[in-house]
Amino acid sequence: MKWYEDKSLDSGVVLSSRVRLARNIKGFAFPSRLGDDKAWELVSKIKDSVINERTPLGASFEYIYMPSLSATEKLSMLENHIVSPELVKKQSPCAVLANEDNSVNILINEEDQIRIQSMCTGYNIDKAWEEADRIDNLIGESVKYAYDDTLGYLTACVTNVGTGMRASFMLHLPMLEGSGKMNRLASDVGKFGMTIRGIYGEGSKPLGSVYQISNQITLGKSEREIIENLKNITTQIIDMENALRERTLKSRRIDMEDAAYRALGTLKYCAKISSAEAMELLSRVRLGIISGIVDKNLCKTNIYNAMMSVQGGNLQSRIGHNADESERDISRAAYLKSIF
Amino acid sequence: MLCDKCKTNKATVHIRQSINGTVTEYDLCDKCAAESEMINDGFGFDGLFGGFLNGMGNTESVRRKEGSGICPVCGLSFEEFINGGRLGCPDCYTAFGDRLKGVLKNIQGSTLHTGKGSDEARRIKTEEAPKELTEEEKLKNELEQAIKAENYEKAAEIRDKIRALKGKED
Repeated sequence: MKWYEDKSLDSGVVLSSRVRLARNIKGFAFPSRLGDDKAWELVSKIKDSVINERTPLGASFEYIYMPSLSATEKLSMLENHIVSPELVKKQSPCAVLANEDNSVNILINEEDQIRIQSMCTGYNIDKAWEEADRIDNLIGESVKYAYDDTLGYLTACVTNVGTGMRASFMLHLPMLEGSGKMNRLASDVGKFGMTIRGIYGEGSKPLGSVYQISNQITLGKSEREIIENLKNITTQIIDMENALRERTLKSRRIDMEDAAYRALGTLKYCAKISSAEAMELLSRVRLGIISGIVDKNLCKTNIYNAMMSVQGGNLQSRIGHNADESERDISRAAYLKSIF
Repeated sequence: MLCDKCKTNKATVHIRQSINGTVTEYDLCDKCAAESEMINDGFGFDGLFGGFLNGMGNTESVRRKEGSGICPVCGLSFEEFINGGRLGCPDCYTAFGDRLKGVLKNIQGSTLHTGKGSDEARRIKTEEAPKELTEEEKLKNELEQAIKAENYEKAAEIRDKIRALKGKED
């Protein structure tokens, strides 16, 4: 089972916790100025530092060479939050080391030479950090990181230098979004060196009310301090979302039931559906589950996993060939029928 | 290269102006650049950090000092960094020194890492520092021993060593 298939993902505002560490090796340029030969050298060097007989870590990691994947496979990895858009676009040597449940991925030659990302379901950022830290130490045993006494870990972009750490929570915030509070919230968290943004969709309207909150500052604060600050702010956002939901449940329960069950009905019985509509309806069903209106066993998987699965690349992977929009809409409806 | 405006002095400042996608570039001397409204307005700096740099009224970002501002290891210029937003290699941090520190201070609000590895790095530094002192103390002990043993030849030798050591410190 992949980490994002865990049923417990439907139990609260927080979908997942993530820690990402950016690292580079001394004596090598950052990937944007690295020739193909050196890029290759790095891929094998970093691969060897993880997959080898010396560490118990190696056995659990799979090596994926990105340029050898098809466009659909790459897109699907992107939608499952395994790789970044940057790595999908790359033509030069780059790779991913992924553990069995995809909760830890090591990206090689993305913006930085090494990006360790560790994911956990729910509000588990400490666990995500401990895992990332452990893997960082293990890699650090066989390579010499580019590290400066004053500036810390040196990275391609100055927005990552220092700890090289980006810690984040993935949040489902339908109530805050519905009440038009997101812009205000974004400017407020900005004052604390954090940033909040929609995960799916383009432009001003994020799809599925899924947001990511993360630290913006990486220098001058320790990893623990950054994580504590993030937890502090996030807890307050969770409380606001919960309070709004509870209040609405008291005053307008019937409206919430109506919205959740209508959404469920459409998802279950539609014959074709766009990605935007599916995301909106899945979000309403999830809100219904969190509110105790909809039984979570009505869905065979968790809603977040369903949200990932209705994205273009994942659908394409299941269809098996290049499908046009209308074929994708039909296939999306069939998938939704199968899970509800 | 001569200044595009006065056509007399040597150009030291490069200005890149982009309006609706049309890029115009000027090379000006210090004097004309100072008079130019363009720098004070700070418009025309594309890239990720344009806003930050303009915000701090930093005109240094476009100052092309002859022979400096280029990373000796990867060849990236400070100007390229400002336009592209990415550094070329770990050595760029040393090569761009104080100018980069200004950018960091603006973006990160700090220039001192206090996270992972920082305690270790500082511990090693403080351990390395008193090494010379220990050496001196060792020599002083040897000197005392030599005097006690009335081995003045050796004592003189040690004294010279201590002096040499002190000289190094000065």
